[in-house]
Formats: sequence, structure tokens, C-alpha cells
Amino acid sequence: MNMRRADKTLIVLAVCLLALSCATGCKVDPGADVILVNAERGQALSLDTVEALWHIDYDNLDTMRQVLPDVHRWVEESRRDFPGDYRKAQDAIAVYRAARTVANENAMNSALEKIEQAAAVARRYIVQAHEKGLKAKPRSKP
Amino acid sequence: MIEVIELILSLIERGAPLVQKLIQDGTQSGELTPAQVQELTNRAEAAFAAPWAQPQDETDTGAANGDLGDGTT
Repeated sequence: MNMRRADKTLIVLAVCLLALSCATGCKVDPGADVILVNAERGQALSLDTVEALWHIDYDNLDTMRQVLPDVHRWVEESRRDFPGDYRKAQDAIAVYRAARTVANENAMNSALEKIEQAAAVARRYIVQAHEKGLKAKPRSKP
Repeated sequence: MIEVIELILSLIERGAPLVQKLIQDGTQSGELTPAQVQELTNRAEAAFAAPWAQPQDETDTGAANGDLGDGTT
């Protein structure tokens, strides 16, 4: 059965949105700081998502360069930029964890926004890579 | 629909931690403990040090920037 490309894209987007909404809006334990829990979720999911795309690119390097050159270029940029952005977000979360002020919350959200935007792009590119049949090799869990 | 399910299953099968985390463990519902914060930090640093996290297209060894590789420029 062949689905129309638009239908397929919509469903994939829905799955991604579901994952994202769960990441940022799922139930939080009573007494827990919702702002901090959501920040920590966003931090972990951003890392996992961007790393998943790095895996795909690394395991299919030549094909990625040829078939999805723009994606490969973005991956290369993210390899340079994402670790620094991630560490800034991590530090900002630590500052907020220690002193939960509005100023620290704003600084944390600002730092998080960068890595969550990167993860949003990575999610889109993971779908594109899969549509081209490019996948990561199985890896053992750390 | 089958293609979409295949895609999702493939992500799980291929070890996409994001999907595994959502499906197997549910989502984090409380603040991370100090040990979990440290674990996440370690995981990130391990990820950034991994071969797949290193730029693959760089051939510049520093010489173009005046680095002679012997500690002098």
C-alpha cells in the first residue's frame, strides 16, 4: 500500500509532535518543579535526538554527502556547535537548579531554546534520511 | 501506514535512545537527582567524544592557521 507523501509526512509529524509534547508536557510528580523537570527532559531529548542523527550520518557518510548534502552539512555544523550549546544549557539548568529565580529561568530557557531548535531540525533530517533508506547501525546501549 | 510503522520500529530497533526512552521508560516525571544529573553529564561528554560526534570533513590540521604542529606558530 502506497501512502500519499503528504499523508505520510503528516503522520510522521504527528508522531514527532506526540514525542515532543510528551517530552515537555507529561505528568510531573507532585512537589516537583515543572519548569526544571521540563528543562531536564528537553536537555536529555535534545542530546538523544542530535546524537541519533550523528549516528546516521557517520554510518552512511559517503551516501549522506551525495544524497543529502545539505543534511550532511548541517550535521557537520552541529558537530562543531551543539556540544558548546549543550554545555551552556546544562550550566544554565544547574544555575536555575541552585537558585530558582525568574532571571535564572529566563537564562535557562534561552539556552535551552538553542539545543531544542537543533533537535527539531535533527528530527526532520532523521525522517529524511529514513525516507532515503539511511539508518544507523545497531549500537549497544551505554 | 506500514511505511510509517516501519520507520518507527526501525528507529527503535536501531537504538534511537529518544524513542526507546519514550516507549520503554516512560518519561521523566520528577527532578533529576544529583546522581542522575551526573549520569546525564557523563553521557553527554561520552557522546561528544565519540567518533560520530567529530567533524568528518575537516582536513585542516591547523597549518593553515599558522600552527606548525611543534608548539610554535
